[in-house]
This record gives sequence, C-alpha cells and structure tokens, in this order.
Amino acid sequence: MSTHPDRQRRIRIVSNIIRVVALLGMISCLTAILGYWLLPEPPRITSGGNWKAAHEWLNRPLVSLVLFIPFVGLLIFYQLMGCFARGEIFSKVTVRSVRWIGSLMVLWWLIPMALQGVLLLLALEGPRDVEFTIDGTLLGGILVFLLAWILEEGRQLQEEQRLTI
Amino acid sequence: MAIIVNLDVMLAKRKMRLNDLARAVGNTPQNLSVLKTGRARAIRFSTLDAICHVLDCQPGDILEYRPDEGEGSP
Repeated sequence: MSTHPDRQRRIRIVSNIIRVVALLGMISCLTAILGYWLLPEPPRITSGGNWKAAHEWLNRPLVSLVLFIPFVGLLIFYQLMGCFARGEIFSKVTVRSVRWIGSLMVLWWLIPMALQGVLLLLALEGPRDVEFTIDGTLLGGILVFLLAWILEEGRQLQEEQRLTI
Repeated sequence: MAIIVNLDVMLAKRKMRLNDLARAVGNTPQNLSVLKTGRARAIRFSTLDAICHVLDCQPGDILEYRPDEGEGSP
C-alpha cells in the first residue's frame, strides 16, 4: 500500500504501542481466569439470587466463559494492530478483524443478560427479574460493524486503485 | 469485462518486450503485465498516451470492445 513514509511511521509507532497494551490486557484476562479457578472461594455470580446447591459448580465455568470473551477480543485487536503496523489498513484481514470485534462487543452486551435469565430459571433462588439495558457496549458494537463496512468500501476502492494502470 | 487489451499484439508488431515498454513509459513491468493480461480495472489517459507514443499506434490498436466476450456491466 502506498502511504506517505512519515504517516506510515506514525501509524506503526501508535499501532505497536496499542499492541503492547492489548498484550498486557490479554495477560490480565488469563491471570484473572487462572486466579478464579485457583481461588478456594471465588466471588459468585449472584444476579440478585442465591445459588441452588446442585448448580453451584456452574459458577467457575460461567465466569471463565465471560472473562474469555474480552481475551479473544484483545487477541483479535492485537492482530489488527499488527496489520496496521505492517501497512495493511484496507485488507480483508483487517475488515474481518473489525467485524469480529463488533460481534464480540455485541456478545459482551448480550451474554450477561442471557446468563442472568438462564441462571434465574435454573440455578438461582430469588426474585426472577431480568434487567434489560441498552448501553454503550451494544451501541459501540454496532458502530464497529459500521466501521467494518466502511473499511470494506475502502478496501474495494484501494483494490480498484491498485488495478488502475 | 467486454474491453479487450491487445497490448501483446502491438508488442509483437513492434518487436518490443514488455520490460522495454515499461521502462520507456515509466511504469513497472508488473503493472503493464496486469494490463496485458486483462486484469486491469482502468487505465489512466496519461498511461495510454505514453504507451501509444512509444508503440506509435492509436488507442484503438490496443483497446477493443467485444460485447459478446465480456459481461458488459459496469
């Protein structure tokens, strides 16, 4: 991709800084998951209720699952920054990565609510109220999807430019 | 696409190699290869002007429209 050398250098520096932050975030997520499994009495998901004895074992896997989502998101983000550092800004890989990040953001919004409903039905005793909120995570995820479409448009324009002799 | 590029025909007529043409028009052999093999999406007038100048030909000698062969769609 033909980019001004100074601009490319700035993109590379910023991308590498963000990659380091993403790497630290991934390590934190993994540490949290590991720590959660090693703790004798880990904090519990309560969702406003108390665990039924037979279903208490669900607590650790569910929290690990919820913590795994940001880990995967940070991994994809790390790879995306790697693409930017190499100068691949409008490419199929970057478009796919941004789309994945959007999906994970929507999932990150959806899963706690879904879990809340399932847990209240099956595993918890208490008031059966499910909280439904529309917050920045959902809107951010939709915005990131929009960004992926725009990047795809940019990719096609760049491809057209590349094949213009 | 219904536009056919007959660059290889003109190169043969002028007994010129693609590398020599690329050097003469100030472009890369890879780019001209994209043009020659019909993979190009567009050609700049400046490039067409340079190629016609070097090969001493008309744009119609290099570009041909065959509606039966291409999809004919934008």
